[in-house]
Amino acid sequence: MLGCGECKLIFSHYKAISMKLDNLEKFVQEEREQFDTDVPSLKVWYGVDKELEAAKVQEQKGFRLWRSMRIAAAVALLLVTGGLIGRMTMSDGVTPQQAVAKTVDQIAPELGEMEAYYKSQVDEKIQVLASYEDAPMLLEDLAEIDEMMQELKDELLEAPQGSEEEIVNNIIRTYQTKIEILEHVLSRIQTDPNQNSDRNEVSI
Amino acid sequence: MDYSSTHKEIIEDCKRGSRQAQFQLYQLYSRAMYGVCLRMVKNETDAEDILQNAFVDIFTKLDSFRYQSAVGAWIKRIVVNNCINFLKKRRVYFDELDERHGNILFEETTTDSPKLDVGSIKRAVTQLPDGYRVVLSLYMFEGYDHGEIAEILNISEATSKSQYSRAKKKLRGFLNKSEIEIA
Repeated sequence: MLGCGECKLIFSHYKAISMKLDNLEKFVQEEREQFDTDVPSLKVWYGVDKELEAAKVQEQKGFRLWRSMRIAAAVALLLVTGGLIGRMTMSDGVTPQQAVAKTVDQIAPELGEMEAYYKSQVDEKIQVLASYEDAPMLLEDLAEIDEMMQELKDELLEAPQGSEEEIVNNIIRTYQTKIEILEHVLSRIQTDPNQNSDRNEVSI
Repeated sequence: MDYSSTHKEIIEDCKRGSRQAQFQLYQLYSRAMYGVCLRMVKNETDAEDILQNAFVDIFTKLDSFRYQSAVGAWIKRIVVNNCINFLKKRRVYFDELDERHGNILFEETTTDSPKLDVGSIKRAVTQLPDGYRVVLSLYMFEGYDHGEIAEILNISEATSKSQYSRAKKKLRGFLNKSEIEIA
């Protein structure tokens, strides 16, 4: 099925050398295409197709995970920036001292409860994840989100009146995104046959 | 004609993940590559398994193909590597097959059986011991030189040369024998 030009190129090496060929080598060279008459069964292509399809699904999952991470980061960034602007336009009535004196609990009493709930969910999932190879990298990413979340809370302390509710909602949304990320990673690990086979090979 | 850009359109479509283009490329090369596998590992089931893995490799790695060589040569190298890995797992060694005969000089005999045919050569190749068959296949059928074979099999060039001449001698032996048997 090869085009003739391609054929010649593939088998060009010893043609180029053109050292004296014996009759056997010469015969093989001349009849070269006659040696490749066997046809592989169609199931070879099906196998290739299936494997490529599986790889594609994995890739998409990875992409979605990466995207949700980016969204989480973007949300956090947006909030931080929003917070900064909020601080700059802080109303004259509230001095920074007064604002710092407030606690997160005072501003948003329900946030503590929500946080406790989300934290327990996150911790539970992180524990499951801890045993997987790529966990350190993931934990690093999650820590970055945590850092941004802390910054959000700091901003909340200084937020102008009326904007608290929005910030609280955003913190909750960020938590939800974090849990989603963890769920994605978990389902990917649990359905990835490669991860398992690697593990088996190591344990053998 | 610039061979390095043969099938460029198909290859570019493959890189974009078009399954249709991938099937086209598969159709273009699968038969020749199956031949490579069959000569290297002898049995059809193994050859098909290797071919499948090789093509998954090919499509996965195609992004790194930059037309610096002919795509056929590039594809073939991946197939060959898959075959070699398979054989290594089966504990096939490519170094000197038989050290005891290491210092026997092989005379190149070109004065033999005038009647050669594809079928009997194919049969004779499968009768060769693994190490001999691989070196002979790579040199005589796949067109690699001894330097390339040395690199592929991680042996010395001298080993490749001596293994090849021994393999060829053995092959001739099988061919002469079968001729006598038929006659």
